[in-house]
Amino acid sequence: MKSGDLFRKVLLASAISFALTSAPLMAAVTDQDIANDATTPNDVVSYGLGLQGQRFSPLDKLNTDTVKNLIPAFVLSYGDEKQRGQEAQPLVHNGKIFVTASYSRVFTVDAKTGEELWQYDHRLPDGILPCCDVVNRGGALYDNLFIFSTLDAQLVALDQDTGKVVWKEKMEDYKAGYSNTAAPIVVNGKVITGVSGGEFGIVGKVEARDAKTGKLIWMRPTVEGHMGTLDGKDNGITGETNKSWPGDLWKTGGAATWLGGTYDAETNTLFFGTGNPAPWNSHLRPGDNLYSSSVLAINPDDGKIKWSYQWTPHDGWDFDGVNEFVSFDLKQADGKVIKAGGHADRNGFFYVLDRTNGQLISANPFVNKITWAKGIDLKTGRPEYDDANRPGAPSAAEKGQSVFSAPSFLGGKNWMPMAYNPNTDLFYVPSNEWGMDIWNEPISYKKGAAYLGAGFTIKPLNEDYIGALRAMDPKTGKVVWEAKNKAPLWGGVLTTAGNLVFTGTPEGYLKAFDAKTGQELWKFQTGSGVVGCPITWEQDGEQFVAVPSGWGGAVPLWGGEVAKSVKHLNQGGSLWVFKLPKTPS
Amino acid sequence: MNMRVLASVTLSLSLVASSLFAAGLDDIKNKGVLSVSLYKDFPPYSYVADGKQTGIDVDIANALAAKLGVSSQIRLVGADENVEDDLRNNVWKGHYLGGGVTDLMLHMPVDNAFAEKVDKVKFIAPYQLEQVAFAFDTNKVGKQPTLANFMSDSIGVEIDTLSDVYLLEAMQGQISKNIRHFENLSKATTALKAGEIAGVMGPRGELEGLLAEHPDTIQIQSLVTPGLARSNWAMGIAVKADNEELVKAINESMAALVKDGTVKKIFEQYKVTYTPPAIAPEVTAKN
Repeated sequence: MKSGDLFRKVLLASAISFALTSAPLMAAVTDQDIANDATTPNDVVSYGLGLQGQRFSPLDKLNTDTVKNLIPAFVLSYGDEKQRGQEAQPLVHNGKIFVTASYSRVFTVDAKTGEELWQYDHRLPDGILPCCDVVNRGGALYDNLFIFSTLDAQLVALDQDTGKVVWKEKMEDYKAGYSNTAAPIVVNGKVITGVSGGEFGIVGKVEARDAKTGKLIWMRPTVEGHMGTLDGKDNGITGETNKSWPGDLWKTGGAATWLGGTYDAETNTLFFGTGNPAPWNSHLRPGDNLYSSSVLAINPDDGKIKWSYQWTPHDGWDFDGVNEFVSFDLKQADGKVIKAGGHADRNGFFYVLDRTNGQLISANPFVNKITWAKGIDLKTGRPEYDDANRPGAPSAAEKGQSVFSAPSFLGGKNWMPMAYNPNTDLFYVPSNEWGMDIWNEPISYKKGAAYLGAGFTIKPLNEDYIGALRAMDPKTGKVVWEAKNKAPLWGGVLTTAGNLVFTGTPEGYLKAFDAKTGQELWKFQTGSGVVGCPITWEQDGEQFVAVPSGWGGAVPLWGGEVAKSVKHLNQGGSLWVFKLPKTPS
Repeated sequence: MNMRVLASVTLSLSLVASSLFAAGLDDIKNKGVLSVSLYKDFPPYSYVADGKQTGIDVDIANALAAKLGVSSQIRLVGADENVEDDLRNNVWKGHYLGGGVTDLMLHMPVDNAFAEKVDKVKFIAPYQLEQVAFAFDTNKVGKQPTLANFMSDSIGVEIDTLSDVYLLEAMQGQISKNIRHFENLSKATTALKAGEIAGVMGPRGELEGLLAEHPDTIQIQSLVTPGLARSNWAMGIAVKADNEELVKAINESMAALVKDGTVKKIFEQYKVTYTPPAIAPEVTAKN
């Protein structure tokens, strides 16, 4: 008994002292918080609701029965005239909601009241020419920092309480065409980023910095022939120089890592996708052009490549391979579980790979029309090209023959992240049905000089819809259900243990679907197109949902037939927050 | 009474109308400023030297402004993916990051087929015929090289240009392995002078301007380029399409500057051969 009492006292004392010492540290986001993000519904501290990127929440108060009672809690306007594409995923921690906005801005609001706590407007230099709109896709939380990347290719760490800059690092020279819009991730104290600037002359890379100071730890180029670094020293060349590129084209090979990456703790692996190779005309660069349009599995400790898989070898259609690679358990019929990863590519195929070694398990279309390849050979892992449908070489003097190619270069799925629900074993893929006419364009000019370019027009494949949210079974490769949408889908997806799937539409709705059947259960008009990423969390016993609203991104920058479905949409810029009240009225 | 009201209404209407249609030239004269977009870091046409805007296009823009009796305001801009983008960013719409548009942009193609595609602007006042040429090191390829020399000798190009695309496929791809890609022709011509490469292919004006001072062993000339779809094009000025009075004023001013020898003198000052586009630019070879 005595010893028991003593034990209890010690326990109590240690609990008190633990509480006392840890109280001031409550705000600090730890590696543990990030590692557990997918299973701790009181906060959202990482892009993807967990670094695997499943975008699954175990919360179930909000479910197929109760979602009808979901109501707005508050809304924050981003203000001023900078109302373009709001593609971010918000984060929630320590009673604050953090969200990035177009033109490299950050807003933080009180999660209870919606009152703005601080705003950070990054000062952008004159003369930046970012491709594809001025979006930002989100930040990362670590320690007392909110870390995000900017249009002028800087990485900025702000104090979570004040919004003041703690450190700022130049990732690349914006004058050389570099930019950054992706959300960084933090893995074991390192902040991991890619780089964007899809245009000519750049080379993609993945970098790891000390998240507390911004100091570079390692760098891994994504094109073969380039030297990686670790702690300022050479750390081996990526691939083998000139193995899959002619001449010196590898020096400017593209393969930008502009969408960031995911991380799987079980295999201690980063997964970063790469963009298309340069130049655009594939006839000028015979070979596979590694590691363009690929996924690279990278060791987060030293930046070494563990394995790679190329979605579109020798790309000739501008099929960036940057879309997210989402780790999940592939449950076999015999009860065995394979550590797998799912990926819905621009090129229209949904791939399942063994994430321990990059072996292809399956590849099936998630869109209705694919012209560039007849299929993916499961033995070799390579596409069976349809050579007749490869765009021609533009050096032919006259306007060359026009090739119709599907999907269009905007992809069967673009940047917007899909979600995986371990309860339904389904992936929810925001997809689009469109193709493109491509032809040689001899009458074109660049920097005032004659040039041989390519002309293209994007065309919807169906009269009544372009977008389709599709539930994909990774075991069978079959589409289980789909929900069509008139305009192209451009927003991220969220799924929950409440058997729900959330996504937004350019027409302005945030929608909730039954995760098993695809039945639309709830929608709310936010006033502008929803191209951001929804999140959910629990606060004071109530379940919340938040999503940015604000039409923009790459779609309205391209004309053609697609423009008709989006030209009437109004721009905006706001953060909508909803909640399921404890006692619905 | 009624008549007077009507008259004053008519008067004010016509005032509004004329100020709408003549906005361009009137505004320029009222403000006393002609705004012009030129490509930045683009010697010998438009660049900054010793902190000062310098170059052929800079001088031409200044001379045009002087003819109009106003001062010039030159904006040096980065090149976007193609000229259509540059015109949208700088002449008829403005970039979505802000900054607005300028009255003119120089170094723009005057090409009927291209003008049909780009109807938001008018291409006027052609002032130079640009053509593709080669600069080469006679120590490496002799004084009369042909394209075939570069099947064994290295040749530099500015990345992602007509010359780049042409050489990658020329001679059945036999040259491609010898191409050295440079960010711009300044760097390519520097490598040529340093003896690192045997030749450079690019627009003659740029090569001449960049190699204004060069050793005797470097020569600049045209070579036979089988299969090259376009070897020359006229450059002129882009103005927003509905700005008729400004179009007229610029056309007249340029004609006067050509006639009194100002344009020729400007080109000569930068050691660039002045080739007035007297005839329509050569049309695509096979068309």
